[in-house]
Amino acid sequence: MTLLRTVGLTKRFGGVTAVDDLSIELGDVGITALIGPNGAGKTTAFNLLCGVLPPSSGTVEFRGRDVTGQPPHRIAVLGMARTFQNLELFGDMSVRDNVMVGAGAHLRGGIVSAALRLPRHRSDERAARERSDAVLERLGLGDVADRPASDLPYGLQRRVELARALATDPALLLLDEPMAGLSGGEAAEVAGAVRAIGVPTLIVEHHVETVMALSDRVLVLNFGRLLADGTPAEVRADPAVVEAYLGAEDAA
Amino acid sequence: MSWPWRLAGWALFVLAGPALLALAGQVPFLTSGRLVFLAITALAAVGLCLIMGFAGQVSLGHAAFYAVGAYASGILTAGYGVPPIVALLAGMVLAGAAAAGVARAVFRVSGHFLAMATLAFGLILYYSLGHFRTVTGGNAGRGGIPKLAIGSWEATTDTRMFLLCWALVVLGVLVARNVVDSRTGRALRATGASEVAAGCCGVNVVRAKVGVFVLGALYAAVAGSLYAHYVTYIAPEEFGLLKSIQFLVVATVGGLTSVWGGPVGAVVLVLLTEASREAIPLFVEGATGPYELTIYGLVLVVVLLLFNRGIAGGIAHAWRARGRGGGGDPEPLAEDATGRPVPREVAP
Repeated sequence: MTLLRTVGLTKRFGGVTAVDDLSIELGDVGITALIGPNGAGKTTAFNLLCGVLPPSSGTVEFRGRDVTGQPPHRIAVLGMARTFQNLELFGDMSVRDNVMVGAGAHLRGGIVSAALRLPRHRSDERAARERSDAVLERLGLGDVADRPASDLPYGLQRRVELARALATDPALLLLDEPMAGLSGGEAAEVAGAVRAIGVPTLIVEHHVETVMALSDRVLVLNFGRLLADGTPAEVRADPAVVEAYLGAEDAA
Repeated sequence: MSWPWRLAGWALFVLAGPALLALAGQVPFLTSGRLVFLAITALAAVGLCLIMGFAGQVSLGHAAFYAVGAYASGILTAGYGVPPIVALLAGMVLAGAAAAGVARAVFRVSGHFLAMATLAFGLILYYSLGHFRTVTGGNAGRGGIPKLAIGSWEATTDTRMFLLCWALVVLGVLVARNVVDSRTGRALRATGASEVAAGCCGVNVVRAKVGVFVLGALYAAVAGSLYAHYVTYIAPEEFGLLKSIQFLVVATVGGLTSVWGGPVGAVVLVLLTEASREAIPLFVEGATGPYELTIYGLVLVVVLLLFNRGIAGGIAHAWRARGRGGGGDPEPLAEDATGRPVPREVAP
């Protein structure tokens, strides 16, 4: 079944076309990598998918619904969660509170039930708390749940972002360079965690070898355009990819 | 903080009311009448702390919602014989609707538009109060407003009125705490740290901000209603820009990011202005007139130099720092490796 479909997705910033006529389709299983040289438009593509940026033209369809131009919170509630290349944690909130913001995505109780401590508020809090604690345990963050997120070392902060995204109970996970700045061992841990999570994932990553090993399918972007689409083996053998990207990296 | 400390804090807060009354009986410069104004100011300021500290929006028109509460109470009770409690609730509904209108119109655009919009709303309402004489009494004001009564209980004395107002301040802080310590509160703190990330976590940023803005306006409406019933006379000059700025200073001095900011700021500023009214003529011969603004300005500068989170925020911060220094928490794990500036602190 198709989970995500973009048709002719394009984003122009002034004279620069960051994403150019991107048409992709993702099924509801597996891990798909989105790779490409710096400035290829990977992060912009993410921002278009999750509603942070409106596209210049083209459409995004998610779980059978046209979500083009919808605000991020609506797309998030529909089941798309993401992490950020430059961490966007809620720094002085505790790790648990960070994750509880994500867990609150599907709760409906508002300011009135909170102000008056209605039963609705209590059941909401309990649900958010239980969901958060389960996710924290699963990602090995139980011991640091009460610490301010900004107190944690960088590797753990990356994991908190992943936990926060998972707490929204996503149907599709977008990971923007989840291994950036991590050591080889930490990167392998993240890869293992992503595998174990089992949620369909679209992942942007510069650790090419790690991501090739992790992914079922690889999309290659170059100058905002889709250059290749196939299994890791197919993409690795594609002369255009080798010339634009992989070859250059090997030479470096 | 563990629960015995929290309970002690609330007990102290509740008892501060009678303690202030006792103080008013002992010192020459403070009367229980001034304490009523102190409590009214504190209540309005709790609402402003929610708007500014948690929704992150500067409001220069808080006195407008205060005016809506006061005039709803004044006109409905004096003009139509409506019971004070019903008039108070009507004032809350009207102020809430006005706040929702202002907020909905401007939260869609980011930036400093809300500050300008609240300023404009405050000024328009202020001049309207003077203009529509048949309803508001114009610049001459409107009198004959009854004292506040709940059933057969009447707030006939200053002491009674103060205790009622203080009870409402306690209730107001409790409600503010409930909101701050909830999904809505977390959503707002998250939005303050990273609006993009909050949105991607499913937070409807506009709705959360509008909700808190409306809630903050309700505090001002109740405060205005209490004012009308206490003074029994209302005129536009009480509800101008100066009043909005007074609320702003009280909230900032107390601590915008703390639910305790309103009462703390009001106690500090009212005690200081009242004391100075007594003390300044002793040093400056022939000095008379209102010192209030000078004191407000001075206290604002001094407090912001000493604690940039206001007094309540500063105390909360020092308390947590003490806890860490005393070995209450385990060793910090590491620095923020990204080197990003840590977002502005929001103390619950």
